[in-house]
Amino acid sequence: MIIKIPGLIDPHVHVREPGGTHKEDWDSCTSAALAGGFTTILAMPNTRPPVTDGETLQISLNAATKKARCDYAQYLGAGPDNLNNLTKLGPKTAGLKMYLDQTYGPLRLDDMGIWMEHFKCWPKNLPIVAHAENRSMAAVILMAAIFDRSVHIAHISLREEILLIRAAKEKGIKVTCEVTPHHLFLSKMDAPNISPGRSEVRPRLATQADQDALWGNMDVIDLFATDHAPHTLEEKDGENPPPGFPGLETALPLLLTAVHEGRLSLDALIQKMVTGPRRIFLIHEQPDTWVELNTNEEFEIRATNNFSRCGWTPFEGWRVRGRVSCVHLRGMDVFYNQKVLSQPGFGKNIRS
Amino acid sequence: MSTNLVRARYRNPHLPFGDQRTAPWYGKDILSVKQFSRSDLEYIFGVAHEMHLMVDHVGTFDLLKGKILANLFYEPSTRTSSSFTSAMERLGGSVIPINEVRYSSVAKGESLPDTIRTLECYADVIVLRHPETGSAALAAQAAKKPIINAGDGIGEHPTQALLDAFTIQEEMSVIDGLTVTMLGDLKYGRTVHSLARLLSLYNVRLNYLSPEILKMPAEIIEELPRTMAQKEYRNLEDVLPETDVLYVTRVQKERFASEEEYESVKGSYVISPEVMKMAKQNMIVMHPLPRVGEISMDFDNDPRAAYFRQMEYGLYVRMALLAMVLGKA
Repeated sequence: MIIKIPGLIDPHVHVREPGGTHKEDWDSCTSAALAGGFTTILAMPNTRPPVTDGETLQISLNAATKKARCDYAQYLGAGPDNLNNLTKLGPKTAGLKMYLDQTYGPLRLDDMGIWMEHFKCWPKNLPIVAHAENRSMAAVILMAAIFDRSVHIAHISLREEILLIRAAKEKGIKVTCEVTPHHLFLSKMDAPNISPGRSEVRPRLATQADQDALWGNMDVIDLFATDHAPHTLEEKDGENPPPGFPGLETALPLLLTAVHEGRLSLDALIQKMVTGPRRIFLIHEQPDTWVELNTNEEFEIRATNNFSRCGWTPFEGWRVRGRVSCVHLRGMDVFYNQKVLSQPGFGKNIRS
Repeated sequence: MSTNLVRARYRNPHLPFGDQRTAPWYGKDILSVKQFSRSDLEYIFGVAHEMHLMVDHVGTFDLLKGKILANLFYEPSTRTSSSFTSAMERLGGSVIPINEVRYSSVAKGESLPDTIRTLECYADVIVLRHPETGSAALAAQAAKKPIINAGDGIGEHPTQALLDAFTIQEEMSVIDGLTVTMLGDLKYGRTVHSLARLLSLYNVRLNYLSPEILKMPAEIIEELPRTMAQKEYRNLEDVLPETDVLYVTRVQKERFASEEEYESVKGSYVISPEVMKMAKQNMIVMHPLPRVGEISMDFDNDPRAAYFRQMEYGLYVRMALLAMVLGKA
């Protein structure tokens, strides 16, 4: 059956431009987004150089203006010495990203004193997104409670994390969270099949019990985000494999398969990929924008069919049901018949 | 620091809840669908959607605790008045119901502005249903507190149109690009006039399907923007297969010159499981209710029958409007 859903929003994408365009750039990344049914992406700041001030923000946005094929906004990264600057730039960005645990890139913040300053200064009505695993997550939720503002926890993956978020929400703390498709569909058990280097990802693939806890607490999950983090196969299979999976093109087919199997409702999918992100990230509805899906079409995931430059996927060969047949963005057919039709530069900055 | 400036310019399009006298709808009247822009609708539907989630999760929520609604109904409308009562009470507020107006001072000849001025001493918001066109605007002129028009004669019934559009958005998830067919009495039915005006803010195709004597008034067709595709039909078969939303209205016997004419027209537009075989699988059928045989009851269990869900969406829209005009969303 052909169904129409609103354009999806992915609030967690690593575009890799500037500094990593052999992995991905604004053109290939936004093409992959459209192929996956996303009409808006929010780009993470851990590029090279990282986006931490007006100048670096402009570098990223200049590239996006020329190359993006879907709509977008750029996050700012919280650093030890960019506090005052950030507040002014706030409305021009997707939000503030705080890296509180080890991941790819140089933006990690160790000093909780700096976390506090950011919580104090960043405008209360703009989003703060925290990469905070486990006990750092508990600490950042405490900050949200102390400063009485909202915080969005990126890619939670553990049973203890989702249970803590449930408890915090029940207390009325303004915390929201996202889960990635790879933590919903993969566990440690799958790592050997993917290969040790390729299965490196942060947060790491967790246990079956963790995975079950995410599904069992679906009502606590505010949204799905892909954490699209492409690296080339050469890098993934090399000496020091960098962590990260591509995800833009596989998220929707995997989740639609779960809808077909009765593990997820279509309403919940739209809630977590459209209405949830709109509310949390203050995104307006795009006029004349929708995605047409063929919910019956079955196909095998093949990296060779994908638009991402990285050239691989941890879901290679998976049989899925439900495929994007057409994407219509602001009155234009931008994806049809598995081809991207919008030109580089068609995408708009939703925060301009 | 310029954070206050930033805040003023950059407001959450949907929520958050909380006491906000700066909320964009604080103290405003809801009188006519003509007052809304597309971004207003996005805001209202965003809040209504939150209300839906909230009711699903916790049932009631004391957002309007201590607030009082006066439900002033000069003509009976069980559905609308109970929907507003339920909306107010689910948000923790309370209601002064004034349904049997003949027992109150109206029967003694008190003017509408006087009644409104009296009531607003006791209430924070007034919902008004009145048989005369323009009475809501008259009431709003007199009142300091917000007035919500719950129908004034053949004039406007904006909350019905809002709930109709919200139903389409929630059921079909995107309004742009849809083909909406209005069926039945398009001449006197104020719900279809208001809905057509609201839908003109979106990119939709409107089909009008009615007997000749009940066709959509030319004034309405001309009032809508020229860019909007509008077309008239007489036969259901010509238009049903392409329809995404079928909006059925009641055809009243008294509109016809003779009994035979009524009977001949009535039969040709009845929505039954048989007729609906022509329609798409993922379309919906709506009706403002009550119905008098336009949709046969054996269609009720079809998933495309959205008319009872439509009433539920009405509750969420009314909760949203009450919270908004009282500065809480």
